Amino acid sequence: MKHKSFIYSLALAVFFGSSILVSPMTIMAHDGHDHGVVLGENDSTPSATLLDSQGTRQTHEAEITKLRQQYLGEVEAYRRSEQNFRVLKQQYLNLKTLKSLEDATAGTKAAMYERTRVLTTYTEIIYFTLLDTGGINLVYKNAQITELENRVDDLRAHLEKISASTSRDDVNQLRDDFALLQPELENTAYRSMSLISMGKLQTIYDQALIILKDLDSQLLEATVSAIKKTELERAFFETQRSLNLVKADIDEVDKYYADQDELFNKGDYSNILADLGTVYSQLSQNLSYLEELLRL
Amino acid sequence: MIENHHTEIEQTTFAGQQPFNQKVEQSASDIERARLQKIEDENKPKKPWFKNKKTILILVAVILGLLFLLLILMPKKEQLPGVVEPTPTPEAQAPNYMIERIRRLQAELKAADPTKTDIIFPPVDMEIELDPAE
Repeated sequence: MKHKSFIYSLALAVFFGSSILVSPMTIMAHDGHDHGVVLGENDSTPSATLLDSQGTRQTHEAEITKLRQQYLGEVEAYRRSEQNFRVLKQQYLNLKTLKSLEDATAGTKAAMYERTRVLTTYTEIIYFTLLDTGGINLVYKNAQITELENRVDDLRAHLEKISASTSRDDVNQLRDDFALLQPELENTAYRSMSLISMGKLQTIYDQALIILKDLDSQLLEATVSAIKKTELERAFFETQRSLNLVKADIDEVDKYYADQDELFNKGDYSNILADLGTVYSQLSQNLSYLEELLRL
Repeated sequence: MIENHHTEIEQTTFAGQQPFNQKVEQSASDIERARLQKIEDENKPKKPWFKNKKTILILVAVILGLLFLLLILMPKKEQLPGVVEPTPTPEAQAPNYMIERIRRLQAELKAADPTKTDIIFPPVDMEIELDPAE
């Protein structure tokens, strides 16, 4: 009987002990849960400002999507025509007959036509993309918009010439005409692509700066202890300094772009992309800083 | 004297056998006693549960435990409306809104990766010709 009484007493002690231990945990769990619910509700609330800005933004997404689909089909057609052109040209070089010359001429003309279609659609895609991209120096942007329009006109005119061509001499003339178009076309395309990439990152930089200013006004005005305030000020200072470095790098890229007086080529575009890669990494770091600042 | 002594001792049994028999006799009597006790216990009128100390003790412990848990949870439930009640002010929403803005910006940045541009120059032969240029 004594043993049994001891076991019952022990059971009671364990029961009360566990109640005391479990209860604070339950409270903590409830705390976390409740906060989670509150946060979740606020998170899911869409921002009216952002929706408005998105809703009213004028874009050419529909045109771009349509052109992209068209472009894919044209690239496929070009590949087939180019393959055919190579076969027919080789046959002509081997046989040297009038028939093989006729076929090779037609094959060359078809390949030139498909190539020009691809380039025209591509130039139009860049044109609309550039129009939609913000954060670009308007002087550069407007200049490139005009250039792109001119290139599209040139390519369309070239396309008409190809359609009208019939002889071997016509095809050779088309070759010479295209050789004159090519540098301008590449210059315009690479300049425009550079501006698009620069504009995208510039836009993100501008928005990051606005967020930092908003955070500055909101968090520093909040009632916090002196130590916390100093910590926040230091964090703001570091983020601001980091963003200034990004700005300096963006300006460097901008200067490189402006300094290219001659025709812009693939090499220049690659250099700009390499520099923008650094800007991209810095911006990524800065956005992490902003997120961290918000959680301080 | 010596003769008398010898007559008092049971001489037909060995010394080792004596305790064994005694033990058997003892255990048999114990079993009998336990059986009688059991019968006696069975015949005794049973106590009702509320007179059983053991049951009461367990019951009191369970009730106290439940009351203790209830006491801990009750103030929490009363506090909840107090936490949720105030209408969220723009200042209170600001951090979440800001997080959302930063997340959007991070997504935009990912899409703006200059190394992953999807508008590369078309992979076309820029020197298609039937006859080489002079």
